[in-house]
Amino acid sequence: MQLPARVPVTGTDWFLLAFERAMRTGVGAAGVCHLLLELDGPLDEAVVEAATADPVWRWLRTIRLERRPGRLPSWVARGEGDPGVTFHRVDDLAEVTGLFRHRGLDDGALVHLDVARDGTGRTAVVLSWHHALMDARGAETLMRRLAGGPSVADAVVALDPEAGPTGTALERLLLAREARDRLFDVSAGSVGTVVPPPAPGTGLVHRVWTFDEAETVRLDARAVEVGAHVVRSALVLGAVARAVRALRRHRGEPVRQLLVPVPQDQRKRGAVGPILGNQLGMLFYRLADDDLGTLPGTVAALTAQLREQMRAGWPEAYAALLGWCRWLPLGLLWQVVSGPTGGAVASFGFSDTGDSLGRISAFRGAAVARAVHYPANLHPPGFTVITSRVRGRTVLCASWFEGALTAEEEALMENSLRADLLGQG
Amino acid sequence: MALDVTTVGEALRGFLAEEVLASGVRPGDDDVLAELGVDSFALMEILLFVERRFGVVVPMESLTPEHTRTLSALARCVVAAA
Repeated sequence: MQLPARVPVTGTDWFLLAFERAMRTGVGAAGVCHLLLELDGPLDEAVVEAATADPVWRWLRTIRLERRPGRLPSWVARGEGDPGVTFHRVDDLAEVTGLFRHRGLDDGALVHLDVARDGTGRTAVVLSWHHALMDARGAETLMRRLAGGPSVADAVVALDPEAGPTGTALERLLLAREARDRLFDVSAGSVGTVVPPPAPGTGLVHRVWTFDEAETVRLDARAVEVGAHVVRSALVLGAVARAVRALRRHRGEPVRQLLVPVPQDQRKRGAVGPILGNQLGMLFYRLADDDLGTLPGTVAALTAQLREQMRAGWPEAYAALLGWCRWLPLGLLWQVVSGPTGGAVASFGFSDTGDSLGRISAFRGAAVARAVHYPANLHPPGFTVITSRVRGRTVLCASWFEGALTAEEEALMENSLRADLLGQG
Repeated sequence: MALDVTTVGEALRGFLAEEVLASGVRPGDDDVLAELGVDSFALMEILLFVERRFGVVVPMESLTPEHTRTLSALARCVVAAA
């Protein structure tokens, strides 16, 4: 298999690298994501080692960022790929999150596999990757490849430069300016956040809230009740926004507006690849306090904004803006992005991966009992939620920095979410 | 413009094949769109295509799971909204 020696970064890759740079000089943590598969039984080390002999995996292990004056920054393959897997013994698979690696761009390979076995023989497989390198869909495709899924035997790796939007240079410039104006409009007031800047070296907290099959059926009915039957992610996003509002009110902090960027996978539906490079557009939702009074009201606001942004060609405008920004130094890009919102950037991070994670049903013959995406928790804003639908169950994983929420506040948010999503109370 | 299900269906099929679905995928009338990967964002793209192409705005309340399950169901939904 011929794999490229050099691939230009995408606009979203570069944007995430600006986050990485800002985090290194502030919090010190890196934008690392994790995908966990819990298997019903044991997994032979030899089987895992055979999986990591995959040429795409070995190639990814060699990928590093290269910046040269006058050239687009690129992912380049350097040296020989190594297996990149570490085996662990734990008492309980719940300890696996303690194994999560948070290594930055200068710390070696940007992807790693950890395999942990507990005392009962159950196994956890954790894929860790730097978000600047690939998005959740790319990571799922990579994991399916490692798992031996026949449908991804010829998964496409990013071989072409970023396609970018069509149109003349003037049209793209006008689109980019529109994107900038829309993104940086803070006339409605300051952006509300819930996590203050953490001290360097502060660890992350992850909470996984799972809704079983019966509860997920209830969620689907709830989506219809509140008007989210078409844009189902508006149900979860709306509930999270209202939970954030509840937390701020509990703290005596008013909400003028919440600003939530939501990534949108730009791949064609049903396409397998590419793996390398974030293939993301972005939608930006603004929710005033009046929008957040009821869940149906919040969903209506989100759905209307989605339709308006897509009608206006927002994802293309955002892509144009980020494509141009690849020529900016990271420090300057960060100032452009964060300046207008006073450094807040967003109220919280949110991503909906849909039901694709549930298609990983086995890893090299061992059945997958549970699968969870753990998001990169970038600061700002420092609070991130990712939701997935996995074989009839709905999984929410929230992440924040240690000490940012008290136990009481955590319970408040969880109760608000469950009340909204299940229609309780 | 008087719309018929066949005309709308063919237009939707072409849009899906060229703009939404992976290369080589051309949906049949009764293929389940969700199984082809058509998610809510893709459905929104389809609706905006219908607005541009036919000048028809399909109200959100019409977009029930039954009406968006297959290409033919969606075409009937669009004609009904015209």
